[in-house]
Amino acid sequence: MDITKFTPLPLNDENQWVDLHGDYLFRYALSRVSSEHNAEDLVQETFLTALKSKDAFEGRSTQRTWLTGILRNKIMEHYRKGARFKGIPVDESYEQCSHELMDKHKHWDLDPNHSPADWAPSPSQCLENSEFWVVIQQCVGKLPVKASQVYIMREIDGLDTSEICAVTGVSESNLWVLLHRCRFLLRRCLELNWFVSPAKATGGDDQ
Amino acid sequence: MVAPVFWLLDKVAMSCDVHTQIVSASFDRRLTLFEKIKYHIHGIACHFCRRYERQLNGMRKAARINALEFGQRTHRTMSPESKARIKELLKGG
Repeated sequence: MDITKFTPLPLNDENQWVDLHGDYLFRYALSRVSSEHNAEDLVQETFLTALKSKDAFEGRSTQRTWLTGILRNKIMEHYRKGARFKGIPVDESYEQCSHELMDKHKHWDLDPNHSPADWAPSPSQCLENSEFWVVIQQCVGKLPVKASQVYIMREIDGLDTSEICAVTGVSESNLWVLLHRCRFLLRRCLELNWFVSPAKATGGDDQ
Repeated sequence: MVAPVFWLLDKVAMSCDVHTQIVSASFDRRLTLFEKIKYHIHGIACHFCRRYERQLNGMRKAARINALEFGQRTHRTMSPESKARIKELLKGG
C-alpha cells in the first residue's frame, strides 16, 4: 500500500475511516507496542476519540495526520498505564543508576555487573524476537511520561530536536540532558532485562 | 615544559560520566571542537565507553528499523473481525 497517496475526505465519512486508515494506524501502533491485541485496541480507541472530537478538527492537516496524532497520544497513555514504576522523576532514577554503575571518580565501576556488558547478539539482530519488544516497551514504560514521549519522538519517530522542543515546550539544552538520561536508563534496563537476563535464552522466537 | 603538558592532560581528560553525556549529545547536535578532542582521547583509552557508544547506536538503529519495518514495509493488517467491530462501534457512537 502506498501510504503517500491520500485523498482527503469530508470528515463526516467516519464509516470509511477503518477501511482507509485502519491498517496504517494498526502498523503504526504495532511498531510502538508489543502485541497485535494492544495495537488493535489502541486503533479502536483512536477512532472513538476521533469520532467524539471530529468537530475540533480544523482541516489544517490531513485526516490521516490528525488520526495519527490521536493515536500517538493513546500510545503514550498506554505506556503510562504499563509502567511498573510510576512517578519516579527521571533525574532521580538517573542519579541512582549512575551512582550504582560508576565509581566515585565517575568512571565505570569495574564490577562486571555494573560496567557495560557484552551485548550479543546486537539489538538489531534481536528485532525478530517479539519478546525483545516487550522488554523495550516495559523499559520505555518505566520512564516518566514526558521522558518517554521525548524518547519516542526522537528515536522512533525520528523528529528533529527543534521540533520536539516546539511540541513539548522543553528548552533545547534541557532536551539534550533529558535524552541522555533516557538513553542511559534504557540501556541499563535493556541490559538487565534482556542482554544479561536468562529470559533472552528462553524467549520464544515467533517470527 | 612538563607543567603545561599536565595542565593540558587535566583539561582534556574526562570522566566516563561526561563521556556518556557527549556520546548522547553527538546524536542530537554538533559537538564543539573541544568536545570532539576530549571524546576521541577518552574513547581511545576507555573500552567500556566504546562499548557504551556501540550499544546506544544499536538501540537507535533497532528503533528506526522497527518503525520502518512495521510502519511501512510490512503488510500486516488488522483482523477483519476487529475492523467489523470498530465499524459497528463507530456507527453506534
